[in-house]
Amino acid sequence: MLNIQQVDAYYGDFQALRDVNLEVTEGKIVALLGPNAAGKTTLLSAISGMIPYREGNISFQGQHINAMLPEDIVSLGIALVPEGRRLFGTLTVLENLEMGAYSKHARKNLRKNLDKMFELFPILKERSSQQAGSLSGGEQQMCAIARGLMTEPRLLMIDEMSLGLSPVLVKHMFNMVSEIANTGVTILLVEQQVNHALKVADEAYIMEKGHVVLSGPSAQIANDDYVKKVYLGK
Amino acid sequence: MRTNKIIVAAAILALGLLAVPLYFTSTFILHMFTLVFFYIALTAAWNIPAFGGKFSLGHAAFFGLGAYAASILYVKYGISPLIGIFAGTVCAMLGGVILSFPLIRLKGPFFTLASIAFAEVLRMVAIDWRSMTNGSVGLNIPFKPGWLNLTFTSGMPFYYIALGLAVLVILLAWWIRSSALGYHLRAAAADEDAAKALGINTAKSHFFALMWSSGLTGMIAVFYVFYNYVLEPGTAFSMDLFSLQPAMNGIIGGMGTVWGPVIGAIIMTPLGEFLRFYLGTIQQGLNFVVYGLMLIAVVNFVPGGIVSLMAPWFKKKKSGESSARDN
Repeated sequence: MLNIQQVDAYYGDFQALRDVNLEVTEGKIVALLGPNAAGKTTLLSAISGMIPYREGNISFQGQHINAMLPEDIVSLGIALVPEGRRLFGTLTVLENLEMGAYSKHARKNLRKNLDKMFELFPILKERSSQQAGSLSGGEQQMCAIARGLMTEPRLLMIDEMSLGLSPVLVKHMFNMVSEIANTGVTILLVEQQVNHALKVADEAYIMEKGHVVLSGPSAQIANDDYVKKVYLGK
Repeated sequence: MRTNKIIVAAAILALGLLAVPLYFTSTFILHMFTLVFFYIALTAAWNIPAFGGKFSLGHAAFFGLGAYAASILYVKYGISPLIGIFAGTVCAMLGGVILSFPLIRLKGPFFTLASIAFAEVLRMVAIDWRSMTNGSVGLNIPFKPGWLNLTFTSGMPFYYIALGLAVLVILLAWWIRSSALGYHLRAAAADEDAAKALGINTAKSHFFALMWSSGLTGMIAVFYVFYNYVLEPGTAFSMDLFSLQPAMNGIIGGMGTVWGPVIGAIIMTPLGEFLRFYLGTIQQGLNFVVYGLMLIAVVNFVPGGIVSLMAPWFKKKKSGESSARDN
């Protein structure tokens, strides 16, 4: 579904991505793991068209999306839930969700999709007229994911979902991710909660210092000696 | 019930404003009201890009373009300012288009600085393009009273024109803010990158906001010039009067809100006149010192502007309204 080949990305002179190759298969949950500053967020930004990158090839469902604008990439069906939720704090929860429905098809199904979101995250319905900035961290994350889903994505990319959430909530959120995946949305998950991520993911990639050092089915990654030692503390 | 109260209050206010020229025959008071209305309109127009977080200090450019377009048509070619209104609006809008291509992707202070430069360059053009603009001497609007010439023997018609303009621009701003465009702008103001990541074409939203803003500013300028009879580059492209003043009204009233510009203009316009009269005669420029101090105070202590102090009151009203509707 998403095919990334030999992608390099730079911030000025600093090379943030080096020869990154990655493949997301339709219907799967793919985890992208690694320490801070490994280039995970940069890769998501490159996919969603937020940063220009110099070399390589990114294609989505056979279509090259290298030079596309963010809005065109979103309407192709790729949504990004950015790190730190990035909600529109001065708008209400409902207004935040409506902002996700920018493209024509998403706008047409706005009502239907809103109902779906409120079913998936009932707390958002309760909070719908509240300012998004006044929500708790977990509610904000739900709102951010729901806002991303309002774009009607086929691929949902979630960046650091569990950041700053309590262990109970983290568990809950990972369950939600599986639930979303069951509705037919493919998911690319960037995480530092390696343990949880490997449990819900079908496949996993480990990135370090701007390139992929390890990849494979998540069960295999979870049993890898290096991963065990460095990421799982076993 | 609350909605009814609001309608009654609005009706009383409207009647009161309509009756002002009948009760106050003093030209000074009439002028003051007219000026306030002009500034409400100018500030509300300036405020439209501010919905999206764009802070312009170059709106004098659009003002000057609108003012010069209509005046040149009238003075040099004898074309009625009623047509000039459209010409002024379109010219100012074109200025907005030209400005938006290099500027729209600039953020924060970069946008602001570039907008200043744009207005200054146009002021230079107006000074040097003598065959069209008469240079620094400026253009005088000949005194030929009549609706077709937008020239009147009393201040009364312009009182109503300015009142109408203020109401029109407030309504438009309110409509824009609650339209899809308004929401996209507010999303962009809250978090531009997040808005882009959702597929919102923020550049397009900023562009349309600037179109509305520049066009309206140009239109208001046409009326302003015919109210004042005279036009020269220093005034038409005046950074003080038409770039800083609307921006300051906006900041003090509450940037990016519908009512902020109204409150800002109502407070700052008479205050400005008063300060210029009393302090300006003691020591030139002293009035600007007071202005500056006020600005610093508001930015420091009430960053949301005066309207944010009234927000709790508005909110109560709003929830009352919705519950009334639910019942």
